[in-house]
Amino acid sequence: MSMGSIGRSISNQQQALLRGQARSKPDQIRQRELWSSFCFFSSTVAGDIPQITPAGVLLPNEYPIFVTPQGQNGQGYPGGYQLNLRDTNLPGVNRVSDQQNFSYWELGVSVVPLRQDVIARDPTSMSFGDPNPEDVDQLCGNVVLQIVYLTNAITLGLIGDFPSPGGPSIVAPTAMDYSMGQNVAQTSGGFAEGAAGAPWDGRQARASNTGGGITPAPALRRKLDVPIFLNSGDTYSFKFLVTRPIQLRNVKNGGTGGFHLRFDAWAVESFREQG
Amino acid sequence: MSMGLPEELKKSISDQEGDLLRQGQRFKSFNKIRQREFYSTFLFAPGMGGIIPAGSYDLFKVIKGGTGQGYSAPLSERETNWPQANRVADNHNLVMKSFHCDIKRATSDVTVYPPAVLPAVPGTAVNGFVDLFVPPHAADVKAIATGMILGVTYLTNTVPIGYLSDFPSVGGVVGLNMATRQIAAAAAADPAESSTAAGAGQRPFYPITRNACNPAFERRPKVPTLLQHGEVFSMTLIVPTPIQLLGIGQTGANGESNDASGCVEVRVGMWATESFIERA
Repeated sequence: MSMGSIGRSISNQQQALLRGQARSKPDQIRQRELWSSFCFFSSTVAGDIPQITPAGVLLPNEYPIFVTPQGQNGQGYPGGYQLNLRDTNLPGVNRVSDQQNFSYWELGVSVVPLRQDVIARDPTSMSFGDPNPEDVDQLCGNVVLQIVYLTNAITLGLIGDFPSPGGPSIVAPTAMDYSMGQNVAQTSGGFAEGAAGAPWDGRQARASNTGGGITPAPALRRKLDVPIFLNSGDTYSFKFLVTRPIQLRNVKNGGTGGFHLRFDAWAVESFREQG
Repeated sequence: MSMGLPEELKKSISDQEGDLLRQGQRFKSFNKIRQREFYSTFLFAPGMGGIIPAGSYDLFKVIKGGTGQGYSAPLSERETNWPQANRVADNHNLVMKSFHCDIKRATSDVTVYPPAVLPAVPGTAVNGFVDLFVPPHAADVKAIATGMILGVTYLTNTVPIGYLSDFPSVGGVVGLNMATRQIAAAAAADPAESSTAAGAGQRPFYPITRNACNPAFERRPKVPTLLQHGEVFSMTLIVPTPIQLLGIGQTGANGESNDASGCVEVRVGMWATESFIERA
């Protein structure tokens, strides 16, 4: 059966494909966020390999992102947990998909509360709620952001250099529990922050953080004059590099015992959609 | 059988040799460009109530793997990503778009501190020691922001360009965490952070103070600083008058035992456009 011009077109595409050339040029363009996050957690469950010790110390290591797709386990999650759309929306693993090209114009990192199903794994080691601002401050000043290409990794800065948009700023500006008691027994009253016999508990008002950095305004964050160009098929990923132990608050001390570090890039994307 | 290089490559290498020997540079052009933050950090850890002596403290003079800039252990990528000590590397050029001075909580890693300032029990509230469980006090951040001057050092001179407070760093948390460093109610015990180590369940919350702003609000000179490959360059923290860090009992009549940290890191960085040649 002859298909005339269609047959020639298919033949040309096949030849181009087999010779390593693109079958067709991208014909669509759009802008969106691309993101990937790493799960940092603490746990006493046997077999878990948490990154945060029971004393609240985040251990030095390399924590890669953009290396695990949705539906698979990785990027810090305990065994049996799969990444979903909350964790990443990049279709390629460790590379740009063949039918996409990206230019990254903005970079950001935010500290995101733990997923409910992860907290449920060990509620004594992890808790609900926004990560403590002291912990966010520690992360901003201690975690290095690197972009990883085929054979090298380039340090772009600390994650605090790349504030991310969105998230609450401050939710509770005072130290007071609104019942005027600071502990379970309500014995301390006033501004005491948890007396010796009645330590901090979850009833105290808490302030929230600003995502990954200062003021959650997209217009105010780091924009690149020279974007990062990523061609279809390029090998690339990012990683969070922790070179020294970082003291965080554990749950006993008002911390959350874990968090997600989410990297995001505001990107222009050219692509070809298969029909 | 001869395995000689193709003529084209021979000529290219010959041209590079000529450029190197005649002009001091091999590369005709720098063929890649990108933007990123370059930074270098100095650790001040005199202990609670200690003094940062008057003097000059150099940055960008120790690279990763070397020891110095106040650290007792080799610097890591966290402290600096500057590739060459005291100069611009031969295969890149920089246009500095902005300067940043971050006054930040010092590292939790005890290996970088002089043994003399490390208490036997971490978190012990005694003047002369560091407390790594608490962020720097606002008073210390303010004292450093307005007591230290940033200088850019070239081959033979250092040019003071402003207070650290003139060049706020980007990002980070700022503002109140809970209300303040509260003084405990009369009937209650002092929530002694320093004598109750992490894990004891009694840690009060602290406000976070940084010399920080949004990226859009950072200092961006209309005349950028241009640094060509190979140029001698570093930065200097100039302390004209000694700076005393907060100690126990110095915060007022009702001083808390858990206020002071006795240590702080000053990280100076610059957002730069970099042209470079990457060797395979």
